[in-house]
Amino acid sequence: MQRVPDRMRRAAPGIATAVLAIGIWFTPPPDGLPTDAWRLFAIFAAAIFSVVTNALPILTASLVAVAAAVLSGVVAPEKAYAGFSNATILLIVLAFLIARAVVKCGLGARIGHGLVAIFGRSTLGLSYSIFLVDAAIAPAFPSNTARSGVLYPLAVSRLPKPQAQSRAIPHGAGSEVS
Amino acid sequence: MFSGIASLALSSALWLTAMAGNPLGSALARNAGVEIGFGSWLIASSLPTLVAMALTPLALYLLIKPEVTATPHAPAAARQALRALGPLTRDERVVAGTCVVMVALWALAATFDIDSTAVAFLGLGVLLVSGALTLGDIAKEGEVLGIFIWFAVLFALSSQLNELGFMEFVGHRLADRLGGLSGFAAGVALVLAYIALHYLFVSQTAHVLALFGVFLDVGVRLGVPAAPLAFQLLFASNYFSTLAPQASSANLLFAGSSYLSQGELYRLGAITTVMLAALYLLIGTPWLMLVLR
Repeated sequence: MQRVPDRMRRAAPGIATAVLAIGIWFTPPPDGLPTDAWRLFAIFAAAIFSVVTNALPILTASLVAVAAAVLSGVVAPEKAYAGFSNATILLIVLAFLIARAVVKCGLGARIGHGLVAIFGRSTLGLSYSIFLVDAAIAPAFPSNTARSGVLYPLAVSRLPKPQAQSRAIPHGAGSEVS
Repeated sequence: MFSGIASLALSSALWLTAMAGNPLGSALARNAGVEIGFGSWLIASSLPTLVAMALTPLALYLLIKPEVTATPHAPAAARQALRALGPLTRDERVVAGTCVVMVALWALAATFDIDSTAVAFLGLGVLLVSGALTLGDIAKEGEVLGIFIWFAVLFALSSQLNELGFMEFVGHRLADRLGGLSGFAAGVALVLAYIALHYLFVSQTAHVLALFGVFLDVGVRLGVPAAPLAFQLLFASNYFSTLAPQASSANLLFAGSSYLSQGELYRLGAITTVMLAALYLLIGTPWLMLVLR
């Protein structure tokens, strides 16, 4: 008896997503809006909804959404894949890999230790230190994305702190520190 | 991790030149007769942004409730660890040098017409040539591919939603609905609707391009004073980046770090955005009235 409602509860977000997508898709678009725009909205809204309700991981939702958009003819393939040649998005991918180098060589940990030595009295102090560093470097960086590449290695390398009491920092604490 | 996301939103709001959409928005505001320069932006944003920067870490701290709160011995331990590390290693020097050069090139990018992405390619190339990073390290960064795919897809679909006329349609529809409200209420409603619509956008700059002009125009026609509304909408264009993991490309590194689940990111994002909107509207509006006179 217990298992049926349980399974239903788990399936509910997925069913709601499907209902939302199909519901918007087959509703006639409001006056003055092209059908394609309305249908793309159905796909996009359903994708975001499924992620928010934990029905699907964001990668899965995006894959299904782009497949639906292209196969239904709502979006032309070359437009749907334009993001893959977008300079800003490529920059993020590269920043990820560069951040890896900062962490790997130990430089991130060194800067992290330095910040902890100054602000490390509490988790809250560490959080404030991120805001301060960021605000100070912001005027010279015309892109918050580029700045995220600078801050991220600092934040990450501050997580695995070497002293005993915080080695056991689980999920919640770690997220706050950074 | 969430501090990083929120911090980027606020630092962007503080300076005119801190986010690509800001100068774009000020150019659009000029069409409505509102002049915004580096200095006037800083004055207008200073009070609400500084208050927000003071309160946000505290609010996140209360929301997330970390298990470890006081770390009185951490500074001493960190100093000891620093001593144990000794002088900079060769790899550290290579990485530090590369990063300094990249940052310098990024800062000069706009002035000398240097492509930021090419700078990053160059930096990664230098790290690989010098051996500070190996191909094996790159092979291990598997989640990068996933992030690349979902962000590129959502980015393109969101751009298409805009190109097909959906965003403009919503903007005009909304303007018709708000017709009966008084100036102040209409202004607040416009800002809130502007923020809520960001769930559909994957780029802050695209959002500014698509909706800022429409919303400002609608507000002015409804009798909202143009300058405060322009500033409020532009501030919102910065802090709504906290709304969702896909709300800004600046979030990706932090969102992808797997310290927080997607669900938590949406929850914290919504709460933070509501809090920041309240702060900017309540503190920012009287402040703007004062400094813009």
